Amino acid sequence: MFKLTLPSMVGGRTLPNTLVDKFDGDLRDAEVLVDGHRLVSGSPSFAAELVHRLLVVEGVRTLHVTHAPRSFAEFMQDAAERMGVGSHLVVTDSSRLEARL
Amino acid sequence: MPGTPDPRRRGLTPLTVREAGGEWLIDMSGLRWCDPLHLAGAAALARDRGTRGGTVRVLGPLDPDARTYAARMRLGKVLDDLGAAHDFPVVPEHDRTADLLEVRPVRSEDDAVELAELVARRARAQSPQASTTLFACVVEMALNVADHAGVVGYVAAQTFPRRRWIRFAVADTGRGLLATLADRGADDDKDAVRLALSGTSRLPGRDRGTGLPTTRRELLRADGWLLLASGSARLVALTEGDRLSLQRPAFPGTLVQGALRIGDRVGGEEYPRP
Repeated sequence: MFKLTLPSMVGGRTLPNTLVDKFDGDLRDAEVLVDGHRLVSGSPSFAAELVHRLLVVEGVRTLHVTHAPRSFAEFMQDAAERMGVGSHLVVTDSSRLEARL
Repeated sequence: MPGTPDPRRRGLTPLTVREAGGEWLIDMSGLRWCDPLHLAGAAALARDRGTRGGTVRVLGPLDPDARTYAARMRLGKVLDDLGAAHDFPVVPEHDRTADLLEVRPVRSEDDAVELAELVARRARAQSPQASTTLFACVVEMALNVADHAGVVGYVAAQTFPRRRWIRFAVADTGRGLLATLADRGADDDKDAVRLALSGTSRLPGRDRGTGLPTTRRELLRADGWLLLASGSARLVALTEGDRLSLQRPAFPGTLVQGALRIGDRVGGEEYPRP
């Protein structure tokens, strides 16, 4: 499984591609874990671009998002649904940050 | 503290542009209160008129508190950088009570993200939840400038800790929503504003056009509101529904102002909505 740990603030459409470009190997039909335990704020554009790059362009089989703030997880889900790849996105434990606040 | 917000002075009405004596006059003299949209809007207009040739002069608010506040938000400094004449005083920057993000230019995606990070970090002490929302909204609105406007835009944000509100604005005098969305079915400014808020983008792809609708949703969830003006149209999105009306004076580009509540009010008067 490929793993991507997000920094505390993520926005824009360039950063998702920069982060994904660092993966070494073929992502087609792979499992990718996006770890949001450090993430405080993320933008809808970042979420949309990450979903687009991994699920639409790279053909990742399942994109797991864990420990992300609820709002960011929702941006990811919205984007995946819009792009018709919602069944390939799995979000878990997105309430951690809100509970801490 | 700056003067009391005046509900009669909402919108752009007291911010006008005219040509007089061979120079462009951007007139803020009627403002008794400077919203972020006035600050960012004035900067965008000054830049726009400056690029058309001729000199630009900005008349600051006659109200001394409003003028000092605008100066402290560095509007005078921005105008200096643009070569525009103005009457804003040089002020010490020790009282930052209502400042969240002084007037800053946005040229690129990097600027958009950097400014959003800055404003979110500053807001975090007041409300972590509001800070998270603010980051997402400022990134999206500033990204629209970088993606669509084709010109430099301006961002500003202010906070009212006692009234528990944060407001931000992004303004540009780029191609505007009608020119941006004419190929997508917009026949006039009102059409364009409606289409933009419904998620229509000039760029293809189902991952585009989500910035404005998502920003509206997030702000309304935070018990806030969104004002979008472009050309002669103005839409205010409130929890009870959207209000579409004429924008007077017309704004030659796109102007967005958002507000979000950061908790229960601690005394003082309610902040007026547009």
